[in-house]
Amino acid sequence: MAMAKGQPLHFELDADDLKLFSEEAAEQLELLDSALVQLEGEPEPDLLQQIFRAAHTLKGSSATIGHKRMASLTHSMETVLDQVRQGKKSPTSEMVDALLAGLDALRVLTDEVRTRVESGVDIAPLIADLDAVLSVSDAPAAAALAPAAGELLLPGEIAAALAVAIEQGKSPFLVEVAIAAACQLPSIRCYQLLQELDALAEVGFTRPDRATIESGGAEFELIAVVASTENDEQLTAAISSISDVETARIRHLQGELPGPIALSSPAAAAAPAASKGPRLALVEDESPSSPAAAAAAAAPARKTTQSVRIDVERLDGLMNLVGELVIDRTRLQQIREQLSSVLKDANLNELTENFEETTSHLARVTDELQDQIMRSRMLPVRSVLTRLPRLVRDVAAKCGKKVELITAGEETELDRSVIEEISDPLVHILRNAVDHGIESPEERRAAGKPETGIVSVTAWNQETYIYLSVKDDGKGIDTKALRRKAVERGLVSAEAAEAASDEAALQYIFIPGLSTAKAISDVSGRGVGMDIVRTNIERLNGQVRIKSTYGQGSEVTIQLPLTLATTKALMVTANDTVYALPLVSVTEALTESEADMHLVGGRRTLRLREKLLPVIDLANALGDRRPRQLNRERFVVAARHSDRQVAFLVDRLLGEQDVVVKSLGDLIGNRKGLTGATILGDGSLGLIIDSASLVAEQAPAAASA
Amino acid sequence: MATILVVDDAAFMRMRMSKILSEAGYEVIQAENGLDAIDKYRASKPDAVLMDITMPEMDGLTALKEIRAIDPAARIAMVTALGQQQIVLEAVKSGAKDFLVKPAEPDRVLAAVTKLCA
Repeated sequence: MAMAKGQPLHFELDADDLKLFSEEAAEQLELLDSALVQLEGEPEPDLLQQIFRAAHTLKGSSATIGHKRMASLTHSMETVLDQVRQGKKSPTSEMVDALLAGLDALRVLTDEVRTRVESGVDIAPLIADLDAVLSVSDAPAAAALAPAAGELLLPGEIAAALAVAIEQGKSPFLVEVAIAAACQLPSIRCYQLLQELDALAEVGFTRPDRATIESGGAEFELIAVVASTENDEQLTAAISSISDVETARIRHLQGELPGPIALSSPAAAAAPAASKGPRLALVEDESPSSPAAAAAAAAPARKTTQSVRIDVERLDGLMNLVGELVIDRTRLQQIREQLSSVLKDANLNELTENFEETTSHLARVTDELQDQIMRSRMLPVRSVLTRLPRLVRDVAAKCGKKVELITAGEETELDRSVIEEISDPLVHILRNAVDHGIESPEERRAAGKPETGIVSVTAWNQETYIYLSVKDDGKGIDTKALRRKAVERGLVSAEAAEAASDEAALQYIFIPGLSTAKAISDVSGRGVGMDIVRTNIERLNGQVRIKSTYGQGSEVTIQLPLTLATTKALMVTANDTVYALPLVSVTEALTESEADMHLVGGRRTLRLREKLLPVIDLANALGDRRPRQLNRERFVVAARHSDRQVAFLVDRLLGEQDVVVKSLGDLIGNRKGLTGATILGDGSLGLIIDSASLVAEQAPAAASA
Repeated sequence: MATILVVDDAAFMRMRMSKILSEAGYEVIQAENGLDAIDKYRASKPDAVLMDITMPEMDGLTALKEIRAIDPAARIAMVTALGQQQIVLEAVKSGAKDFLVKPAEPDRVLAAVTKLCA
């Protein structure tokens, strides 16, 4: 295939289609990603069916938009998978490798649809590899029926029968029919087509074959080679009399028999978009009729729920409106309180009662609405976890290790916005676990461990947070080496390193510029270490913790809020401005008078539970230089991020509240120390503190008393 | 204009189908089960039949075969719910010309009827 890297490409789809295409393709690719590695050995019929369907859907949708290379490649993959599904081939590791290579190319090809620029991926060698997997066939019939992409090779006896018919004066035709995607029983349309063809011609060959069609297993295309005394117009008319026929191509075969016969295009060879959401849902309702479908149905089917795709922007819009409602609710409640105190003595009891009832009802409804919309933005974390087995397989292979990955908690749901952000840090931590955590098989044997290391990734919800843990049974982290390295690099003083507990020393792994790997390997990348992971997680109001026992393994746990759209916060004021301190970082709040404050090296310091926390005046730290009066008692709020803690000095505590996060971007741009704003019950603005960056800026790492 | 026999035991479905068809200018006759359909077919020789599958007294498949025995040129489309693929296949083998899957869009109903009457 001629490659023309960088050439512009044209596809038949508009912006909306593109979105649907990309989303659906991403889903199928993900499914293939996690399923293909399980193919080796004795695959479950259910798994096979899923893989086959994913390849088939990709073929259909790529063909529909005119992405010929993608359609050809998926066609070849589908052909291989079909052979496995029919039990004609058993999956070998060569086969899985060829399929995985195909999958990698499919990602790039899918991306071309978005970029509309030719990536230069050459599918020819990939198709050749897939064909090669098939050509080591032991069943001759299978080989005859397994065509190269876009070609048809007739089995010998059929070719012979056709030759006889031609000698009797009949003309050979290739018939290619595509059935409309809207058709709900395509197999029956195929049967009807067969009926029409039988009436006018000798039907030599069909794909799918008659048995498949009669058992209800045919899909949206029918290819037939027939011999007839009629001409192509009469054949076309007969075929067009059947409902749901989308395209019918009839070609007089001249000098092409016994074959191979070129099919008109991959687009015709592929089923047209078997991708319409509702149809898929309906198809699953059908009673299983083919043995394969019956097997798939007998196996515990994955729960399919009715769902619609909603643009996240639209949901964000709804969320914003709900945010406004929440504000109105709070405002109404305030008015209610004022009214009832004013009207207490007047004879307006009934009116105020009514009003109270209405406001509290509004409050309940708003809460419910907020909750429901939040839920509609939730996705199971599965979509992130399914990518991991492939990653572990690849990384383990690269560094010559044996690793088994166990995942749990795929059903755990979290907000879309969090899902998008969680993937990179998780992948990084997992790579570390395989590359640096798990030992080589020899080392493991010597340590009396099984050769295969185990890495488990677990997700769970607790309160309003999601937790993701990556645990390995590898060599653990050598805190002695960590101390040495931190001192060598001048990141920690020798005395501090000496005095630090093992637990505290473990935290050095998060200091920028420290890498414990003996060599920078290809696997873990360069320069991107745990410090970046922590920064990214904290930016999302999350936390990352590490536990490790030298010789036995490590566990890294990420804690993130379920959503980034709202956050639980402690509301405080400083110099007449209201601030929201995310509760995830707040550990304690005390009055100034009960706080154990000292001056250390000229800085105000709070002694709290054996730790010395620098005391930061919140208004000052945020650059509020307006004149202020400080005549009443103030409050100290302790906040921590990982091992670092500070105490914020504020004027008043207003209480805990759920706040709807709004971006500052449009108003004043990004400001240091702030992550956003929120509208308060009285309509005024509150500022949301970026406590992670303030803590990091103000507190030295691992300050301990 | 052509006459269509709508066979369905559910009054609502008969009404909907009838409405779609009569608004498009067809003459509509209704029957509420297979036996009724055979009587009505004999009496008025409609141009096409829309036949539900699951019905009391006599089901659609049996009625199809009976009507085809009376009139081998009878043009009948089956109206099916999902999950009846094998029955539809048998109906097609027994001479049904087309099928509609419930709930059918008016456009699809009219397209099928147009094809049947062609």
